[in-house]
Amino acid sequence: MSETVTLFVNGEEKTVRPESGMRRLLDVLRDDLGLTGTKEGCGEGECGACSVLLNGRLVNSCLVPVAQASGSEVLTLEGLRKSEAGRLLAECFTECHGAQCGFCTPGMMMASYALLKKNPKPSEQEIREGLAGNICRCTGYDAIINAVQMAAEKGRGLW
Amino acid sequence: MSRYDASISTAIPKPDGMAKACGAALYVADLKFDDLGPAENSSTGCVPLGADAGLGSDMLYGRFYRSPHPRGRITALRLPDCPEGYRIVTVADIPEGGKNEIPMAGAFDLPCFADGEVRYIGQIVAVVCGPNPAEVDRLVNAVEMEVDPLPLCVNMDDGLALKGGPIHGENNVFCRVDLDNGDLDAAFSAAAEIVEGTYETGFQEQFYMEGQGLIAWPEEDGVGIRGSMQCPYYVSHTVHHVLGLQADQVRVIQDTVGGAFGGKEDYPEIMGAPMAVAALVTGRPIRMIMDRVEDLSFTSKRHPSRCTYRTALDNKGRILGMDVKVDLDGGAYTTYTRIVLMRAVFHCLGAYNIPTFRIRGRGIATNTVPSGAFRGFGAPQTLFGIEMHMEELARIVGEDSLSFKNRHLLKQGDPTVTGGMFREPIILDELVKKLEDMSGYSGKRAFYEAARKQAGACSGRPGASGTENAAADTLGEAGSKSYSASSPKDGLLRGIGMSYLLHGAGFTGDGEQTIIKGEVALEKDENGTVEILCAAVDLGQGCQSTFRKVVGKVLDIHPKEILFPYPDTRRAPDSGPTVASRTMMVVGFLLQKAAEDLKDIWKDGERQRVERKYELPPGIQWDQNTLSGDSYGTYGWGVNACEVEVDPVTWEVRITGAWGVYDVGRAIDERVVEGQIQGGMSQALGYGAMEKLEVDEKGRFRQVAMADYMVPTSLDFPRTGAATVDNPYPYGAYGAKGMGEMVHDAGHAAFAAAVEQAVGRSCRRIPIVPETLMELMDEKEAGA
Repeated sequence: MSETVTLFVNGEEKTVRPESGMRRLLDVLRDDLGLTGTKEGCGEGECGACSVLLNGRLVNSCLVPVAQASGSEVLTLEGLRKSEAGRLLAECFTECHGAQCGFCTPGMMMASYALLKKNPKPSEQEIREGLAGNICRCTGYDAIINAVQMAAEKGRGLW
Repeated sequence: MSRYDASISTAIPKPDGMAKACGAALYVADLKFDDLGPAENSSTGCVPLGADAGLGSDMLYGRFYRSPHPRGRITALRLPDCPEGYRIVTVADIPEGGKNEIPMAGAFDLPCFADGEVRYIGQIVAVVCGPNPAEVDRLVNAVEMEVDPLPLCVNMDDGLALKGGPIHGENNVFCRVDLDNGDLDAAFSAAAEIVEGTYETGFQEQFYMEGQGLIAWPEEDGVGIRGSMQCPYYVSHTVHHVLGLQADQVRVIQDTVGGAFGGKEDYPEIMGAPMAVAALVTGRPIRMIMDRVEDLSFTSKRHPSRCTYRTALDNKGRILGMDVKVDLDGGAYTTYTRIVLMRAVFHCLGAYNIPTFRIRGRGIATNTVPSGAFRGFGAPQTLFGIEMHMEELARIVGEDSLSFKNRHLLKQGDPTVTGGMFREPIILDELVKKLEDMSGYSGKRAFYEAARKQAGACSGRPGASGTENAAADTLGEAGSKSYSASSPKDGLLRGIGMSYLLHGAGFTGDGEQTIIKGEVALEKDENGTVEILCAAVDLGQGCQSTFRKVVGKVLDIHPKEILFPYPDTRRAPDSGPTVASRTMMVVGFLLQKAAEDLKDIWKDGERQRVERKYELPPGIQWDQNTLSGDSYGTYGWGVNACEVEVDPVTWEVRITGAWGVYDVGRAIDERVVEGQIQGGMSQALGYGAMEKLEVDEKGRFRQVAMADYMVPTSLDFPRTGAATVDNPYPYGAYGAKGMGEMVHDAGHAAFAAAVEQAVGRSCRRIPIVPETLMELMDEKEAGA
């Protein structure tokens, strides 16, 4: 594909020239833009490690052809972590041991943020539903749920 | 320097937590090809990629060409012409002085590259490497291999029947472990009743979130390997063996590891050795990152097992003796099967004192991916066998299973199955008391039992209406009031089950003293900054926290001010692999002793270094030839409970409660330990309830995508009630014993016991998924 694709990634305009419009948004972020905070866990949209926000909606970036994201706003963990909300979430994950191996954590951070933006006072069941697309093999989810609860409590008004 | 006066058990935020939560921790796939400057996450101790590692934008992509054939002599291997800059590396490229074998726990049968024959689909035949991944893929697909095919063995029955002739040796038995004590024939002659049952477990995938990934590069006089691994020195040993180099010519560096659970114990050697050959041949760095399908299809899994228990009971319902057979499916090559079998056999009598026994263990060859290490390492298989058998015995004796098990529990001073001794206090009674407080186990057990019996009496079928009131009527003093209110008339079948477990901490047998001989070092600079040097890897289990705490506690320095870089074999001494629940107990204890040494000689303003080597705790004796004595220095202990409800129409099982109470010696960080208990329980319940992994008629795994292999999501299980009771071990760091594996040892058995109670049938095979439960119920009803 000789055409360029313009994305607004973490608030900055980025123009890339993918070989094909079908190139995965995940690869554009990681390889073309060097944003390796977004992880590839399965490549089939099942594990959520590659979660990013596309125009404010949580998506698996391994399933998004970059052409489809043309002109869109993309928020990755590199953008989220610069915000007060992102910083607080990361601190809560650290405090609660919500990250063990850490590989699912970027996706969990994005899913938690998306959830709290939509529902700043989620019940435990709502947190479980909000994170249901993100697989963690280390924690059994308990510590991650604790982290989201702590963030909801400490971050009132932040989302 | 800030002081550190908190209790060693008080949790601290994870030192690597912020880097991970901010996406700044670099995993091997994140290391950039072009810009290999210092890593962003120096706070996590990652060794920066840089000029000294010889890496740059000339890095190649690598991919394995794997055998498409399950078994046969190789008759032709046709390699396509490679464009400039591409290369296909095979067994012919192993340098002179090298050997085409992956040494693994004393076995040498697995070749680095297939040579002459293949034994399973997916066996590594060649490394294809080059600058463009699409072209590498094209070349992989253009390789052609032909074999003279042989009939294959897809399971242990095929293997034992020598289908197609033996795969290994003369009889397809990789190894045997046999143990005897007392006169078993006399025990069976004296028996009032003899009970037999066969218990089976399936494959299980570790499912670390980060797939296998490594980089290999040529160095001036050797090679380097870095990436995702549990055991940097294992990789080093294998690579220098294959390449015919000296140990110090192979440099291995750990990067952030995105989960392992045993799955990165053996595989990085199997993967790293051929990559190292390719790096030497091409003179270029090569990176290989497996995608999920390749990883699920071809990396090692937990050994499937089949255990048969035959027990002699006297007329008072006491166990006189047990005749036990333990069979493990080892796959196509020996790899770790011998040592997994040892641990399986040494745990097959569980937490019970069985006076007389005959145990026959075998590791069996089949034409499937070689089975390997997975958290628990054989113990989850045999603990399932013994626990389900004890449940069965209790039913036959007509006694509640907890009471029946309690009558047979081990006590301090009792002999171990290998004729050693349980030296330290055994506090299972305290653990059970805590479990009862947390779960209400016994009250629920009695209530559900009465409910099921009542339902069965009403209709001849479980799940009939009117269950709860009838149960409440018959329960009387068993405490129905507290549960009847929470048991609506919904027709669901309910049950609660429990399991006991023990886990030998550290290496089996004489591994620590004769093979590993672990070493650690501490270095202090002029400013008083202390650095931990050892080869233990934080796989997520938290040794980046706990090691800093141990050293900090001794030196009264806050853990966050202690340095602990990821291991680089150029600097870190060989403290042994990150396996076998040995990290905190063995390596942590060495670090504690080293810190005490440093404290003794501490001089402000000077650079100082102390080293410590493993010493066998006093009194431990082991004979590797007869497999007798103390097979483990000490044991961790635990008790699990699980509560379920079963839909008698769909046979779906919902887990409504899960609890784990453990003796870990002493928790070095309460939250780390809690995280291990919760995560381990989730994996054990996945093993019992959903993680189905089967092979097809060609010995290939059927579930090779995430959509097919089911691991627990946040919606599947409730929170795990987690607790510990202190029982400090004098030769572990601040009293800590091994605990990383035992949290996966018996949750599945508690789950299966709960399902048994709910449905009133014996469940002898996991995973228990709706279709297998439906078959079980249909089978029994048809046969009844």
